[in-house]
Amino acid sequence: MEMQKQQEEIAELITLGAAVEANAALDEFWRAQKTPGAAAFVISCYEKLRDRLSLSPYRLAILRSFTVEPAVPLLRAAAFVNGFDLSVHTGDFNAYAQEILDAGSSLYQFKPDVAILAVQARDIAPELWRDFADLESGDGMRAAERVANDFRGWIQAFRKHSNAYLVVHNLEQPAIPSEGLLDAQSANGQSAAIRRVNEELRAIAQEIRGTYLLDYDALTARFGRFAWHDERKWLTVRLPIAASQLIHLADEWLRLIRPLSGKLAKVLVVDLDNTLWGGVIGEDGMDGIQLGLEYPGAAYQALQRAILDLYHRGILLAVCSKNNPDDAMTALEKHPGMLLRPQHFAAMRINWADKPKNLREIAEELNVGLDSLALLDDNPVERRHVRLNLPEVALIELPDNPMEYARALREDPVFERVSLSAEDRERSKYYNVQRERVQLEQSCGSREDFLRNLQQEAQIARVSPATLPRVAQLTQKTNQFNLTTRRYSEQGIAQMGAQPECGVFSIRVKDRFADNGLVGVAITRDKDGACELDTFLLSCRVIGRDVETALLSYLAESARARGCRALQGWFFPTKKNAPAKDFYSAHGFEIVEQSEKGSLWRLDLANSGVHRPEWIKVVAVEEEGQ
Amino acid sequence: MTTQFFATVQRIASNLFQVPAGQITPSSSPETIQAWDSVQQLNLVLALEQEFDIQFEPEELDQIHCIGDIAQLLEAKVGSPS
Repeated sequence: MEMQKQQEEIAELITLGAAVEANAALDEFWRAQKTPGAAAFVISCYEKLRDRLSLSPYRLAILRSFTVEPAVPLLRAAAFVNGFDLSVHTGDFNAYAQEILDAGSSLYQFKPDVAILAVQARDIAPELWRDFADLESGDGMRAAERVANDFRGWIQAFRKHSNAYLVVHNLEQPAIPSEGLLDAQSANGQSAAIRRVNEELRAIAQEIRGTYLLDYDALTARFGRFAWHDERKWLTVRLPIAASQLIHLADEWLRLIRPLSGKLAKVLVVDLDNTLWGGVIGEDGMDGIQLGLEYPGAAYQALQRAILDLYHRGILLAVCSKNNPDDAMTALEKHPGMLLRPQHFAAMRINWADKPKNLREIAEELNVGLDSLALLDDNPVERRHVRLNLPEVALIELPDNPMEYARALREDPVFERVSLSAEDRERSKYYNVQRERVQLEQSCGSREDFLRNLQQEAQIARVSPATLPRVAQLTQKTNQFNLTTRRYSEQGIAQMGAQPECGVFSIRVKDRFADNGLVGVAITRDKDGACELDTFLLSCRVIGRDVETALLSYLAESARARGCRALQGWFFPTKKNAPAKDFYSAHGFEIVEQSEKGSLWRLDLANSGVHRPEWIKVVAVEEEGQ
Repeated sequence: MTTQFFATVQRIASNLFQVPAGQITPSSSPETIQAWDSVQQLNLVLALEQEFDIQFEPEELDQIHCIGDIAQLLEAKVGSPS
């Protein structure tokens, strides 16, 4: 009945046109009951709300050897709640091989952004599953090689016909191996053979661009192999997974889809009282708060450990807490149980102001969009307040019991990524160095003085296999200094890099404080005697230091050297790229065309050029490694 | 007790098939409900298994031809809730 009432309330909100409120209510509704019935309801609501929310459209193809249909509505509902409008194409039952190999198949006609290849050992390799005991010793490994080669052939064929990402389920281990206890004693047993296939799969995924593994074996183990499987459904309708577990498969799919689509939270904003420690520092004092190796403080330390893991993955940390700054800072600096210290945090707002106001300031200070923030706060009232006022901010749902906090944070998909660049790992350090730069800037009399003092060196290089992932990543997530906001996959970048009329350039900037890493991308395309900037973007990390001018002047010079008469490019305004708005006019370009989507700017290379700022040393690098 | 099971089946079927609960009667079947195809029938079975934490046997699934069959099956299987 409770559910009935909630559904009526949500329907009412939709009728009233309160899209943000309906979205928030649907999020809560879905989290409370992820069932097939709830999924159908959630989907039907979002189909009405679709036009009033900014959902990201995304296309997923599922290639499978077993029944997956009941997981699809669960996935679509979860995707809607996470801000995706997901179109799903389900390949015919057990037809994955034909669909992959045939360039004209419905798979490729669907034009997916990502395809999932979900096959099981029992379907593609019965000799590794049901019939393993029939094999002679050593034949298991040969069978494993055969299976890995099948996979390689399918993955290569897919890559030949499509630029979409490919996610491959690895093979699960049987709950009980066919030789029982003996299997664990044998180097050539059933589990060893399946492990071999999975190791090969990992190597293939590393080798063939845009291919990622879904660790299906770990997924079934996480939820328990006996609980995962439903033999009745398998034998009758070829559905191997129990009703209660299907949601976990859908969630795991979404866990991969998020980062592949470029949706990445970059900053974890944490509350302090009853989140990083138990109790209220202002009332309980240093000796009174719960935090340490023993229960109950151990639960909070476990959460801090999980936060620290994210920090090492390159996630920025920030504090947003209603507290007296002195009390809170004393605990952060001196409490013996703290694993996190002030230097781990890139921004802090410890005051009595409204949380949405503080969150806005944190985003501004760190130069990221609000949709890059995720909030960890024990107080459901604060979370709700933020959800309604700043719907862009992701919320980590915390259970009531602090002992479950660490797991909740680790399970949350918002910080998941499928690859990690050197820049990601070092990100937190960049922000510390940034503070030193700000000090230098304040001590210098003029902007020019500051820039000279910075001693910047820019290395410009054509994209290479080593820099490809970072270049693609920058096109995916740079929002502010981005003239065209065109998003490219690694495959897309590689393709352009190979075209003679195209140039894909990366820029790496060092200064006296640090190596900023690879911070900018330019993609040029020559046609009809003009060089067009398809893409020109810069990480916010180096905005305002004339790096963009240095890159543009390099592109202008090399275009002129190739015989181009003009350098031109579109500016497409978005909600976020105001910092790039005046870029062309500031460098002497003139408007030559205007459309609904934006403006086309041109610089005549015969009579003018781009003056290179003398305080940046520019080095053209032939081949860059990392 | 059957009415209680019927109410649950009605609520879940109404959500799954996207038809108002009032239109779902014990005699509703794939012939009378357009959205009720084999995939939706599987979804309905899975939803009920989750709701009552049970598993239907294949033979039991063969007996399902309409909503009333499901309510009866549930009563026989789950019995009267204490």
